[in-house]
Amino acid sequence: MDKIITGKAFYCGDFVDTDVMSPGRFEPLEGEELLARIALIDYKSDPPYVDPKTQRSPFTVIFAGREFGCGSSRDTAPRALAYAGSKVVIARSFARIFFRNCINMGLLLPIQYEHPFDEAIVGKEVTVNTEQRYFQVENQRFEYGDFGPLTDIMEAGGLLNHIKQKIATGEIA
Amino acid sequence: MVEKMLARASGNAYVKPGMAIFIQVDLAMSCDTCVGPVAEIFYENFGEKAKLWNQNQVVLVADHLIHINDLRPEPIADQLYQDLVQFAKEQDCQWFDVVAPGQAAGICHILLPEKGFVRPGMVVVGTDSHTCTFGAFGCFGTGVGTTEMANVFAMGDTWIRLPETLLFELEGFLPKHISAKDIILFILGKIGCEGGRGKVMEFRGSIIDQLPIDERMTLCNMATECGALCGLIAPDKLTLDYVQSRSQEAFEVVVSDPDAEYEQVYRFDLSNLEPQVARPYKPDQVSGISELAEVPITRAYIGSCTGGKLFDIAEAAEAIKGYHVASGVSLFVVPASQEIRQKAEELGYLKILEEAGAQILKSGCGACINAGLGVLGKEETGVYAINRNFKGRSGDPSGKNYLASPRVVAISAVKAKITDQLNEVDIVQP
Repeated sequence: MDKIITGKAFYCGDFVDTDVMSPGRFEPLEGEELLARIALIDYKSDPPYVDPKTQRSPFTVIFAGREFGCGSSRDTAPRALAYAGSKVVIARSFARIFFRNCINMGLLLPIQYEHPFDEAIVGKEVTVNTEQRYFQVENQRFEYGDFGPLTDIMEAGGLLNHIKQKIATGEIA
Repeated sequence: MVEKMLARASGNAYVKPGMAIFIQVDLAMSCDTCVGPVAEIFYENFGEKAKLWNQNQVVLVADHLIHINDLRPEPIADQLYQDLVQFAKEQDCQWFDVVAPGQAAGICHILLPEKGFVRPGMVVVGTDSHTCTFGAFGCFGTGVGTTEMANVFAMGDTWIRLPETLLFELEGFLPKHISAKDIILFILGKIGCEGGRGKVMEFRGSIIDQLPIDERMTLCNMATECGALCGLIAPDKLTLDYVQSRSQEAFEVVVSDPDAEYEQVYRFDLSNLEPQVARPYKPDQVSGISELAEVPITRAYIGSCTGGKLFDIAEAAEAIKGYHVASGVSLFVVPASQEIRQKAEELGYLKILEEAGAQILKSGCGACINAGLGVLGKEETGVYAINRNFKGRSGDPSGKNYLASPRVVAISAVKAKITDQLNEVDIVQP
């Protein structure tokens, strides 16, 4: 996990579901190129999340409303966002499986924070300091809580790295 | 109930909500969309000769993209199916192949209980969010992603933050023709799509006692639509009879203590419940059918892990016996498994539905996940007995999908609008 993440902000409202992030009509959802191109394709916004020219997203940090990632357990949803170029999602709340997928895959940092932002944040520069656990928008700094026992998994870069480290050190057989 | 189950699964004498623990998995289930990606992650991380932690505790089902080719040509779907077959053979685990081209043995959430894999007290994980269906049998079932499943395949365990439990006491006598789909939509309307987020929903009360197994499955199946990990119903004689008729394996019944603490208790008397309908584009946009403005439809669909069980098909058939689907409307019926198809055939339900103008499709997930006939076309409006009505989930994103019970879907197909009312004049004269 990068200690400092900097980039432009995107905004999503409440209840953005995984069918919007990686829609079923593109099933089977295979390959980095396809996933990056279709990420949030059904979320209508101006500018769109993915730049049609580059087929990637210029937005590193997604601010979202409640229950971000609700619906299907498909982990093509966080993959799509990560492959498109995002590294962090700061949401008022996450759907459980989406949050778990983010933690387990180590591709996208899910920060739950009851933030005050809306569409006005789109395009603004955001800095996330994962070591000191804060994010900064313009001159405002927001501190977020730690991940408790999940910190070890996140610092290892995901569940499988965490397990392999434990196997390597003999903690588990 | 869940605390007892997960304490046992984690090897702890006592656990409490909020604790993050690793739990042993009793059964891991995956399907054709996920086995290939899971296998890739599994071999990449645990070595190309890696073996499942226990081949007898893994079941693979070809059900999700099995009839996508009826809708559009998808070579990758064929590849994913081959990946499942290859992994099942390499690992010598249990798997359910298609019974004919494009014809699934059944949808995983229906098939596993039918085949005796799901028993009270178990911890079951599946690469599908509707794995919570298994809570109808008094076991902890929950959905996971492919990375997590790769870990389960190798280690036989996974982490969980122990959930709080919400208790739903459902009392009264269910009115005639009101189903579990109406109950869970009603609950969704009350608590919303995040009302159960990260929690377990435990159901009990006189209404639960009245519900057959199929209906209990519907209730638990849509707990995930409330954001919950799992729906749970304590096993009773009905559960035990069902399970013991399908499995000889031993199991341990777990029930809540009389003094169990719940984060919140909801009490609903459902004696006057009317049919419920969820409007686009969320399953919690619910109103009673009498409050719904007139909604003309051209598509109607009865199927999926939520609406393709024998009880669902029976309700639909009984509702429209002697009637005919309106011109300009397509009604699709998808039995959720071969056992259901066979029984529905024997009992005459499929004949009734076919005579009414319904198309009986092959078993599998199909249109529910945009992967089979029955999907919404551009600007089309439909009423579906499935679990989600997100934009673009079951067809074109410009389409509008309403959720209702199989009975309401069938009647709506006859009337070309969402309704639960049929009159004599609609009967087809022989």
